[in-house]
Amino acid sequence: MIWWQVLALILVGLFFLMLFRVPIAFAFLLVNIVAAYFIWGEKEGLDLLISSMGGALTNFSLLPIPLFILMGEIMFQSGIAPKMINTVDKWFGNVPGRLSMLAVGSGALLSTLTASNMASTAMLGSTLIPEMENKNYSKTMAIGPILGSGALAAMIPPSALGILLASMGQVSVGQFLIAIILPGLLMAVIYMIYIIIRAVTSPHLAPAYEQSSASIEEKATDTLKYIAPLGLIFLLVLGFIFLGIATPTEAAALGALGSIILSACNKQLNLDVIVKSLSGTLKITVMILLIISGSTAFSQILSFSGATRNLVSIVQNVSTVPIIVLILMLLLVIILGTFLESLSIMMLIVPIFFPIASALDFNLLWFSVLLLLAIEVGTISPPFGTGLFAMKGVVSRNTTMMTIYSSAIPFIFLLIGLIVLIICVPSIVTWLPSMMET
Amino acid sequence: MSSIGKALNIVENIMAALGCILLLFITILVCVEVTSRYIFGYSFIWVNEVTEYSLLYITCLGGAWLLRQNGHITIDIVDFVPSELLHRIIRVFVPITGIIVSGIITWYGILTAIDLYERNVTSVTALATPQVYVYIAIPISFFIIMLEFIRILYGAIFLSINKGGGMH
Amino acid sequence: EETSDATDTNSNNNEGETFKIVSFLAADHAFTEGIVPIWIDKMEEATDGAVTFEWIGGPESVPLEEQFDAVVNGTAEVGFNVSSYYGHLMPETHSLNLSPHTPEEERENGYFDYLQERFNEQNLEYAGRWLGPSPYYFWTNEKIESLDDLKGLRMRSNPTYDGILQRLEVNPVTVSPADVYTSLERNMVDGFGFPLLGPHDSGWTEVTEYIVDEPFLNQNGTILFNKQAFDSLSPDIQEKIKEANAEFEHDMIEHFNEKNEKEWEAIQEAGVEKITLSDEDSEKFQGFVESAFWEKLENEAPEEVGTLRELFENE
Ligand code: NA
Ligand code: NA
Repeated sequence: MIWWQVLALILVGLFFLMLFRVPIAFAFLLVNIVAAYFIWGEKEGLDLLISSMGGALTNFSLLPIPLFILMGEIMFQSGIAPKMINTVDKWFGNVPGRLSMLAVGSGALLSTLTASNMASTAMLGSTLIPEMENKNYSKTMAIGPILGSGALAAMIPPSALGILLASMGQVSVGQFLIAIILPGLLMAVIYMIYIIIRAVTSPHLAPAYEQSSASIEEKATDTLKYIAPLGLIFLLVLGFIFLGIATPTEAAALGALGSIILSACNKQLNLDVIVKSLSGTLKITVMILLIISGSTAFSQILSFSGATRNLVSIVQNVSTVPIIVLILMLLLVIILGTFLESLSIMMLIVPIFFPIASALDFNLLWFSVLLLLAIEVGTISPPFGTGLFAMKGVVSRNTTMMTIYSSAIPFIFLLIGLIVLIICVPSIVTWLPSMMET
Repeated sequence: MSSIGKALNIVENIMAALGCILLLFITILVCVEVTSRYIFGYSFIWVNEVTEYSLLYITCLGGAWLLRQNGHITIDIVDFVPSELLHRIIRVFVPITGIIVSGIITWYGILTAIDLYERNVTSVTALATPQVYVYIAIPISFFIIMLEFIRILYGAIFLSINKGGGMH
Repeated sequence: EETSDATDTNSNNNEGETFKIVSFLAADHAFTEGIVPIWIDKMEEATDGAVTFEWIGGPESVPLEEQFDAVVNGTAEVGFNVSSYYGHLMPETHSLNLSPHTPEEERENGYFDYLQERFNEQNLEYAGRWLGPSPYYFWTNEKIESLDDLKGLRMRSNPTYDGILQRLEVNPVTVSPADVYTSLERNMVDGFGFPLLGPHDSGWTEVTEYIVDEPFLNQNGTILFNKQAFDSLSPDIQEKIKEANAEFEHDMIEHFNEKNEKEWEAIQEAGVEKITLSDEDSEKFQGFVESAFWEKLENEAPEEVGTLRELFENE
């Protein structure tokens, strides 16, 4: 069989299984079982598949994923998130679109704890949506900013998707975690500018309201109590990575330990919190790692069948303009994102896109950040997206899916705008990591 | 079914609990290692290898437990197709696929484990860990996953017959 | 133009056999990129179309730890491996690192035949070496004036020279390839062991100051055929392949000597300074290397040690 027929068969099979609701990890495994049998060679092929499954996970660059998730879970379970949002709330004066701005502000803060967007969106949604409805915010100004802020989770370290992308693309995990900081912050700023413009030009969307202002002492104590310790842990974790004191894995473990100590100091640590944090971590970790274990062979089989090599050389021969290839790749990711979820997109494209990107001599750090952004678009792009569904779970019953979709659209365009900006100004990505090279 | 079901629950819960303990263990282990390296200038070279194996073990220990909670990532496009027949087919199709996959992985996992044991394959590192201890996690895990899929299939058939009966 | 060739051989290759090659490094690595194509050309020329070879790739196609078995089982017909990844199955092959002889001498003094016999038992045909001369060096960011200066340093470890690090009282640290650059730059490690080729391509020389010009160990690269695949060829073709491999080893030495010479210039241009050890330290160091490896062999392949010592003493 010719390589492109193999490729087409594998992809069609995979799509079919995924669309028919087969859990992604098992969809990859089934396709790999068939492909390993025919391409790697019958019994030996299946032996190789088992080895590949084990080998995929016994990989220490994946270790920061569970450790960072544990760090966030401990913070969440010890009840720090609502207090944090509450504190940010006290600081926001009477800015236009106050609650929407609050969503972005707390979204950015929450992102320093969460490694994935579902938790962030659900947390923000359940805390802020009722109040927004109370204050007669339009649905779009309520839902949109929260959806957008959910996407921040992956763009501000720690980021499970980011670690995975870096490790699969053979980019330094530490450098990548540092590289996403500026794009992530920029994303928050762009959201805020948009919200202010909307709120000023159409005040009825986000009616201003009188808000009882907290005293400066109260603000200060709350900040010291609820944000400072956490900020300290976050800065230590990132600082360790930035200064090269610890590897991302070690920094993550220290962060997790730090958050345990922090919640113990706040007298919020008990068996219940520990059990819930550990089982929450186990859940997300297994979810992610089983997919990785099932899909690593996918990439090896594609490569073994010659599909990857042939695709790469076709791309090299057909297009002489790398930027067009880049745009096509990102477009494909955004299109896949309308109906696939982030992890499966990543598993599908990385084995093919990274060889192309290195053949075209792209800066891989820059390329990975662009990919991650394009993948994040998918979490809020209709009709299917984890962010959209997490939102549906927390909004009031009379909110239709259509309303959620239309609220997401401006933020999708803001994200695409950010992608374009980073394509034009790569130093947004490369500047901070280059500061590591003093 | 119910007593078998309960036994399955217990096995899955114990495995998940072990997974959680392992998670806590590697967190502490990595912290101890980094502290030791900086304060005492001594590093344990085996920590990396042990934590890597833990990653595989954690995944294998939590797989079936997560499946019972319906926690594995799926793409839910098909939920939007308003066809009860299609949904009923899918409710049966998915666990059958799962049984096939986990059955094959279990079988070849056992063969691989036996082969690793017979040839006494070890890791290429200083620890020289017998690889059978690492890879045995795969067939054990997928065997329990297969049992869980069988339960799901049983539920799907049982429920849809009940439903069909109710409609007449 | 490479694409169309590759596609053509894939789709309409009816004459002769096609053997798939897997290599332990990716196709664009300094070790493999030049040498594998040279080997393919040589073999295809020698066998005159009876066999064509298709280089499937490296660990991105078949997991590293599985490449040896993949050739044993015939998933791929040819493997460009290193014994570091199958030494746990055939501990006697750790001796590849220690052999004091040139590949040509190995073919004459019985070492080649000894290995051939051992590989045959594993369902493999040993064709020869593919890497070398490419000894290891220690690269550091500390100015080493004597062996004692190495004590207490943190070095990136590798199972191949763990035993040596231990004797030098160096602290081993595990660092993934993608993180070597950062960990050197941030002083998480003080150095690493590596042959001459590689560090410059990976950019590590930007953050490395010294190379200790004390080469140690031979490379342990082997070219292995699946036995059935090899035996399926006519005796005439088999003979031609064997001869061509002996010739190839000459080309290989030339190839790597040339590359190494250029590499010395390149790394010195990149600002890496050469450090030489005193004769006394050099001797002591090589003593560590020998004892570390013989100890490994004595532990893992005790019944082979006598044979190996004899073979290595043969001229
Ligand atoms: Na985050
Ligand atoms: Na989407």
